[in-house]
Amino acid sequence: MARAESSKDAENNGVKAHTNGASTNYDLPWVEKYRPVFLDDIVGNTETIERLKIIAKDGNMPHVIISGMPGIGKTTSVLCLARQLLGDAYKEAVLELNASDERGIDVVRNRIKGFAQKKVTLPGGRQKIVILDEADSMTSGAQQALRRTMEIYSGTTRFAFACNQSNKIIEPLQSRCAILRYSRLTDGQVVKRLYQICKAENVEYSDDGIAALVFSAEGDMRQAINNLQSTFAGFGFVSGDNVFRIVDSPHPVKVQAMLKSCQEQKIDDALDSLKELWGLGYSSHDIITTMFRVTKTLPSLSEHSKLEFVREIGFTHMRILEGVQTYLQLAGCVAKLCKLNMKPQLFALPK
Amino acid sequence: MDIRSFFGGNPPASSAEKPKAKDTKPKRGHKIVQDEEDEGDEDVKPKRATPKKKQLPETVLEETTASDYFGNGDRGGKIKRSDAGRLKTRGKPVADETPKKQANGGNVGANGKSTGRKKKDVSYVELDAEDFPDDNMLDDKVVENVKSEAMVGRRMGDDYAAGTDVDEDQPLLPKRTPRSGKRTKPKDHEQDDFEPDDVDMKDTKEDDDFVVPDDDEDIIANKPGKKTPAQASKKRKSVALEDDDDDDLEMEEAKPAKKRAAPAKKGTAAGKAKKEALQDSAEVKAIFDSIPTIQAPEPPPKDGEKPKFQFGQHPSSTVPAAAVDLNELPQGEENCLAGLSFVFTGQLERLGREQGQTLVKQYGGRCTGVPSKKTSFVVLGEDAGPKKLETIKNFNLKVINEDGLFALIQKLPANGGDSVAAEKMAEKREKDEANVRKAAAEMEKQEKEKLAAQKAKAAVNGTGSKVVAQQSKGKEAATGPDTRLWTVRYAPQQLAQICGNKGQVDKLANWLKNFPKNQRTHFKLAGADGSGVFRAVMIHGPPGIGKTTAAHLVAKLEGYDIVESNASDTRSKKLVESGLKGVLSTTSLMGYFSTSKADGIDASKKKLVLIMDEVDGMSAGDRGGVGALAAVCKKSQVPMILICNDRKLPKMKPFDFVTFDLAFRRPTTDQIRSRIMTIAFRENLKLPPNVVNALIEGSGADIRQVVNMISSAKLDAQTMSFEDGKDMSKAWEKHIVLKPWDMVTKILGGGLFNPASKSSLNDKQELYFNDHEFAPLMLQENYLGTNPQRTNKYNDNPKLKKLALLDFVARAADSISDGDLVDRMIHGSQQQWSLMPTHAMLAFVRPASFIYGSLAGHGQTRFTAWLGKNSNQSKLLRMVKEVQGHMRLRVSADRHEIRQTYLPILYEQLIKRLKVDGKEAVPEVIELMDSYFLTKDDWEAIHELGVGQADWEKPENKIETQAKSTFTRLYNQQSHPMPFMKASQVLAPKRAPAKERPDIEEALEESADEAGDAAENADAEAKEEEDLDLSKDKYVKQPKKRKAGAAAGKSTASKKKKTATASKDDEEEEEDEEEEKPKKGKGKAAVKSKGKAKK
Repeated sequence: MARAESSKDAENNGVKAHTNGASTNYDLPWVEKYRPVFLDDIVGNTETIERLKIIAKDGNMPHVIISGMPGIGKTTSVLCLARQLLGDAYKEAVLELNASDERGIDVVRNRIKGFAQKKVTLPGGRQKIVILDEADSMTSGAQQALRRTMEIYSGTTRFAFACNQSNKIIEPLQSRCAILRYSRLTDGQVVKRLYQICKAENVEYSDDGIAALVFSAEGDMRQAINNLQSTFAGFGFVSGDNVFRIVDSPHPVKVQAMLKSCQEQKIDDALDSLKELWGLGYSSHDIITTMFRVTKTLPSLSEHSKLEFVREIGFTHMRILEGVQTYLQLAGCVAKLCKLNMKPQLFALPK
Repeated sequence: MDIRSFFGGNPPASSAEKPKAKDTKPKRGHKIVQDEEDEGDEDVKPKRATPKKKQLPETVLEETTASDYFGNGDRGGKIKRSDAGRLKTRGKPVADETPKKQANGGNVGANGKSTGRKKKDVSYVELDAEDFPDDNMLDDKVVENVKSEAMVGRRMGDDYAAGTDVDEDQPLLPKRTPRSGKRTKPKDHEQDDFEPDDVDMKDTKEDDDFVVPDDDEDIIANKPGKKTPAQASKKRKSVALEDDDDDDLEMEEAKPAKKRAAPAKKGTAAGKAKKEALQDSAEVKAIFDSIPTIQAPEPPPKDGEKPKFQFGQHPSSTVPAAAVDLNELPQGEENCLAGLSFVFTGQLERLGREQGQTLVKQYGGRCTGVPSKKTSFVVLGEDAGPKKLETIKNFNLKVINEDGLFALIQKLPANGGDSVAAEKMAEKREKDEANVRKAAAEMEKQEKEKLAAQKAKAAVNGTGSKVVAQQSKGKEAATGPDTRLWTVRYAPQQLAQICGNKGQVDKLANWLKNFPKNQRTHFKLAGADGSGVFRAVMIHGPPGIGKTTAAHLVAKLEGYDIVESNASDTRSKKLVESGLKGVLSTTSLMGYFSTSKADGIDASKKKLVLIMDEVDGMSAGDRGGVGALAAVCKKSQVPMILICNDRKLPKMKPFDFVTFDLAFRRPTTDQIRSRIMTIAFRENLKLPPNVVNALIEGSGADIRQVVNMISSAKLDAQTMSFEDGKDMSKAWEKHIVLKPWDMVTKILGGGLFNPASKSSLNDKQELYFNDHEFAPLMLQENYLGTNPQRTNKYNDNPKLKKLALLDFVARAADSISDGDLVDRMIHGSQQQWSLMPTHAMLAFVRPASFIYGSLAGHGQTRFTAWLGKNSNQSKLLRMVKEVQGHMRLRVSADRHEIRQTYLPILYEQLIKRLKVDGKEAVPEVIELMDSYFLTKDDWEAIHELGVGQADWEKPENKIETQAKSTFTRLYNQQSHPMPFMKASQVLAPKRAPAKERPDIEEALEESADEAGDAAENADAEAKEEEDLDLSKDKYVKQPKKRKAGAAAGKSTASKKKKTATASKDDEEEEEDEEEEKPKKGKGKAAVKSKGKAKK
């Protein structure tokens, strides 16, 4: 129930652009323009967001670590939470540091500790918040220095970390924090948001265009929106072909089809798909990288064959990197992949 | 947790049953005399114990001395042991006992159900005694024990030991404690195990369970008197020790899984044997009877191969191929398995072991690793361990397969119905709840008192009452919705509230209490626990187990005022020295100015304690801080408590012997649970105990994290189900970068490649990226150290199995070398980093896919030897190059030719001659060397480059010192032709040490250096310089003046550069020396300026 609610909220609120009052929204990247301002607007990870909403309502925010892939709303939700918690006091009660700021041990010892000691009058149940974005790029020394600071000043200051890899955060800090792991957004969630933005920006689109956007973004909302904007700016119409022209990587579905035919030992089909890809003008490097990536996640292959495939592809990759970027190499690779699943006797010369 | 059940808890149970068994079936008729006596003892025991149980007051418990306690603990352990184990240990010392044993075996067979098996049994027992060398047998068990034991720790993937109090002494490795070590054990136990237990009990104030442990204690207290001299004989003792060992482990293993069921087991233990059949209601009994049991297979026939049985070969801990989906698992009533204990053994067809155990735990059952009398059901799969099968047969345990388990879950009513076990369980549970409620109430009371005190204070301070009243009002308002974090709000207020590590906390308190006394004796008397000579204590352990809390609490309770310094303070050498000086010679103002009346601060609070938190967090900005701190620790007049996570780090080395080390372990689940339950109760959060257990286990016994978890769970829920708990602890799992060792253990032995395992190829690749430099190297080092699971299908055909093994190893090796080709592209001149994923696959994942399997039986995971070998190789290569360079005037061969053709002959002529002919050959050798322009260093290089027969490490290839010294002396006397000398070569010996020195110092010497042994250091330095100069002199003193001059010119230039950077006074010093001995000065200048600059 909570889930549905969240999504609905997102749907209702997301339609209007949060332009921060500026009318020159033409200049603003859509990512920023449509960045959610309230927790209600955030798409995906509903359960976690629900919890954050409760925190925003009741105050007393615990220390949190939010980790997950890029573009799934980590920073956004921290900012929203801070904004909702502190309201007008946001400016003075929030210290936001990201990787662009210096965050060495000295900064932690001086600036962050100083901020933690600072007295800011806040309503009950509210604390100052230190937001450390991209915390995985902090040195371990700086993280060490945060340990007791987090505890001693926990009465007045709470910390929020956002990071891609939580294993870069030292264990003692993880032990002090509520760890929220954001998962990739589902395609549905991305689609919904894209539709909203298209509507708000009067973008003409075809359904396969949106599908292509979602596909290429792989759950990364930011990338999806960026691609949408680029496609719109470049072609004025969002169709599948246009999107892939913008995204410019061999279509994984096609590569997958090719690998499937390899698996079924249909070398002609495989070569045809390869030819098609090649004909679209992709470099052999692009094609082989995509092949590698697709192979790893190809569901129909057993793990053993995956590893065999990966080996052949890896060798071809090496050859390509050595400068032999010809179609022949790729065709050879495809042929070898086909051969992997065939009986070796077929290749023995008749005596 | 109950340690009493550990040693004392079992004997009554087993002994109660054993006599019975004896009556009906005289199975030990053929015992040797000693054993007979034993049995007699055991017979007597229960009789004595039971009547006294209620009479003796509790205090006996405290009076029991450790030695008594353990002397008997040993025996208890012994009794508990299965027959096979007993036969084994007894059979061993008496070699000619075989016929007897056979007879025994026969009886055992008779004791078991079927007589048809008699024959086999005979052979089994017979072989059992001979074919199972101790280690092997124990290994099997121990490995497993350790596995489940260390589960908590293992999950974390770190090397902290899981903190059961009991395994204090036991290494985590599947190694048996050396027997000699055993002797020291009692003491530790006394301190660590016994006391905590006591305190635990006090903690919960009224605990009716006391009755049960009491009787154990009584037995123990009574028993020593009965010890006859014969029993105390040496042999007996050794057996006992051994058994104790065994039993320890057994019980330890049971412990983590014990949960709230433990007391129930205890309770029933005594009565079970007699009453179980009577008390189980017909209904439940019917259910039990209806469960499809299966026939346990015979313990496998023993042939010559048997000793090779290794736990590791059995993928029992992994998920089977045909694993059932989690949702297909049967649904049962809540807690339906309450009070039942299960043992999983062998590989089940459709259920991974972990899965099964989770299932059992979910429904309130208990899982132990080793079957015993008290096991309710054994869930048996294929390839069960022979030892377990034997135990099963001996105790006639109920054996079921997973169908049986599912049936049990489906049929049993909630809370285990009205079976005895379940009832005991329910009782225990109620008691637990009562305790929790009580604790919560107490906590509340405390808080109220505090508040009241504050108010009173406000009232007393008449003048400022308004302000204070306002303050307290504000506080009240604040406490309405308490805004503190739970971790702060529920931080322990009394020592008793600290979970686990009681012994260590007590030690800390003792040390602090005795500090003033020790100060008067100038830290000369070590005291009982050896802490008296230390001015500082080092607490170390994983995060979240209460180290800082304990330190603060102890200091507070002992009336010290705390000065804290942590990683958020700069702690460089200078600041530590100057900053601490201020602290160390002062008294606390708080106590000084206090009037010791109103404000509750007593005047004694003038004492200061310095708590240095996160000592291992001293990093980049804190240069030299560690050394300075260690130096302060040596002479501090203020007690210092240092806290760190990892004591083993090289940078913590300065603290060796300076601080009194207290290792905090992860508390056991039971230790934490009551606390968590109390908190949950106070917060009106409904948490069933099994959920709490799941949370605690999931977090690796990190108390703080568990509190954080329930605090955020409370946000949107009032209850929490088992699945929620599991999910949550999964989501909250702390991700840390794996160490190289863990990486390779995980990929090879972690069951990642099992078909049912959920890990994708990407997950495995992620492992590689934990440390992409080391991953392939470590894999290469350890890939031969597995028992590949893929060869297991040939288990019945050893020959085929070997072939398969060879095949897989070859394929893995192939893949590793493929990976190396890729590596060449990445780390070579091309720097093709985009190949990293390929490298991960070829050099790490793919080889592992062939040879994954258990790592057991191959010792520890080794660290890669490649690094050492590689540097060795480059050294040798350099030597060959040098030799070739010198020979170039005479010889046109290249490096390889020199190595392959010249060096063997030169070896014969130069080295072997000297060895065979002694000092007579010296002139000729030197002549030959000169003719090839070889130097003395080259001579040594040639010696070192010998291979095969000529391997210089072989003792027979060592050259007599006399001949060698003659050679050296003569060589040094003469002058030798030098073909040429590169300037770099002249400088090399000088520069290298100068460069290396800071490195070494930084790691190890820095501390010593900074600890104030400046004089000592200076000596060493001087010595080293002397050495340097000698070697250089030799080289420079070559007849070729021109070269020496050139070299000197060069080095003076470099020296000038260096001295310029050095500090002023250094320069002056250097200049003076320079005048006297220009050549020597060079080396010194370089070294000194470097050394000084560093400081």
